[in-house]
Amino acid sequence: MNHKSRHLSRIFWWGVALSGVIIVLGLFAPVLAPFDPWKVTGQPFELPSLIHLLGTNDAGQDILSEFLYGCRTSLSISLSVVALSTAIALFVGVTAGIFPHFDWIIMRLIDAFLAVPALLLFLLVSVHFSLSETRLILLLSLVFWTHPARMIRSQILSTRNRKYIEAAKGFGANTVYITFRHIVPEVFPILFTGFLTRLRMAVFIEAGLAFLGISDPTMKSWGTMLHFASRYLYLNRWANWILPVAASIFCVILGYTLMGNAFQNILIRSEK
Amino acid sequence: MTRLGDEKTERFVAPFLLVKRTGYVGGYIIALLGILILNYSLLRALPGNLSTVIGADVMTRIPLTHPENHVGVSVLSFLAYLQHVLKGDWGVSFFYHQPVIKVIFQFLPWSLILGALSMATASLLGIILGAEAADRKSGLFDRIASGGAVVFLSIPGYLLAILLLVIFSVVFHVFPLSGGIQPFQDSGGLSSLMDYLRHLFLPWVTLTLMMFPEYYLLMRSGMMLSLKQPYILTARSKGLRERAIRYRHAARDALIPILTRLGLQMGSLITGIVFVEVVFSYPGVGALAYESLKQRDVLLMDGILLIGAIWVVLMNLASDILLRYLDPRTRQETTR
Repeated sequence: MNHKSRHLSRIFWWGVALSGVIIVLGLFAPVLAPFDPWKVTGQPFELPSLIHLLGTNDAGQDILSEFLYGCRTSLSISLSVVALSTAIALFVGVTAGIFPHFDWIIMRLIDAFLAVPALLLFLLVSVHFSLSETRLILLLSLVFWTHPARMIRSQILSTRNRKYIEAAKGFGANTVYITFRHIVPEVFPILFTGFLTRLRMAVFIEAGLAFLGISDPTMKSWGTMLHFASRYLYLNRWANWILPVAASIFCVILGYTLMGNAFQNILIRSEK
Repeated sequence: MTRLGDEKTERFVAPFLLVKRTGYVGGYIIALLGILILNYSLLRALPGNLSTVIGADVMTRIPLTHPENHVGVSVLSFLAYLQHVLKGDWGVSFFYHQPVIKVIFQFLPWSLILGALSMATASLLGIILGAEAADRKSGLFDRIASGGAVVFLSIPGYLLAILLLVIFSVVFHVFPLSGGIQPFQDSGGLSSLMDYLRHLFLPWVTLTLMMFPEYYLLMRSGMMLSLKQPYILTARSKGLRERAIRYRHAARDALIPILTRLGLQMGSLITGIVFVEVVFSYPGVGALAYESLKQRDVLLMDGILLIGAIWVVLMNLASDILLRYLDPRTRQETTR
């Protein structure tokens, strides 16, 4: 048992390390980047050299600087989306769990959201509006809240009738007090695993949308880099252009996945 | 209402009853209606009038409310719009100059075959690997399969598609770079089929690798639970072979969570198909959606979103009805 728990936490720390590297790169991007990623500093399609460690892109901008600022974009968008959608989910889930009259309509609303193919919805919206960073965050949060809201609701429904809630009621506590003091804290463990899952999905979909060319093309993100790089596949510049981006997306998502899995295992064991 | 007394009727009727009782069909109706409202109002929210975009010559020749007119939709009232949509008149694509439904149905078979094929292989691969891995927990097989699943879960589909394209088409020239068939080569027969399969191969592999981890993880955790059940001990004491126990007894129970998540998997399948088709320029509905985005072909985009939602709803209903037949426990809950 002892050995096993140590093994699990090792997986967790691997996850922390993998995503941590990218987080640090993103945080210190302005310090680390050798050039301004929007500035033309060389010829287009330069091969890696001492000046441009990863070469230059089709506009003559430094790929390494672009990549570092991409870490930043990916990080800020995914964190904001997850924070915002968690807030919505918490509000909706708690409302549905505590007030039975709203329950039916909220659940139907969640079913409705789950039946809409999200990517096609994003495509449709982007036909009509240009998606700036803020709009992208709002749009993604609008789709991401449903799953955690449902989990929160079911968790609350199972805690609501426990004995200690009855006891608190017996002491004369009102609904608001019981909700925030006793019921909401019960939700946090599942919220955390959900947080990691959605962080992963947010990184995935943010880069994906930018890859399709939907989000702001002047934004420096991994997705836009992939978008422009895949236009010039025939030039054989993928090793210095696509590979770093691919590797870092993979690292971040793998990191979040490992952390999530390890945490879920701990959760399952504590329930037993 | 049908008598629920005898068991045979009950068994037959229960699935449909459930659809009526739990209100999630209400959710689906809200979803479809919501999409229609969105399609309708976004069209009107566009600055100016669509007619100025499309060109005045169309306006002068065809009356505005004429159903064949692309501009028609933007001047209809919502109820009239709804009527048109229900009748199957989804407007005319600006780019293809054909009714939207007709355009979509031209591209749909490509996506359907690709999707169904990859879904079948992915689920089969995930289920078999998951069942075998759960039986050899923490063994070498389990470690390799679980590691592989986590790795492929962490590679987004578009990335995997680009990497496979680079490796097999750009570097080694084994598979074609893009498209669904080699154009201008109507030899027919076996060589066309081979050509079709050659183009299908990379998108199919990508989608399969993309989707199998989810099935694998669900199956593995489900099998871990079901292998501990008492009826497995009974089966073992009867002297059944291990494979029979694994697949005939334990797997049946473990399949249920996979089926309940079929609807959610449809969403990810559509996402995957769009990305894969865009990267491989495969002539399916996903690539069509991307093209219509680039052409600002609004009505076509509307139609594709609607088709996607209808597809998800239908699969959700199908999985639910299937589940009632496979799992007696859910059946009992609903008839009570």
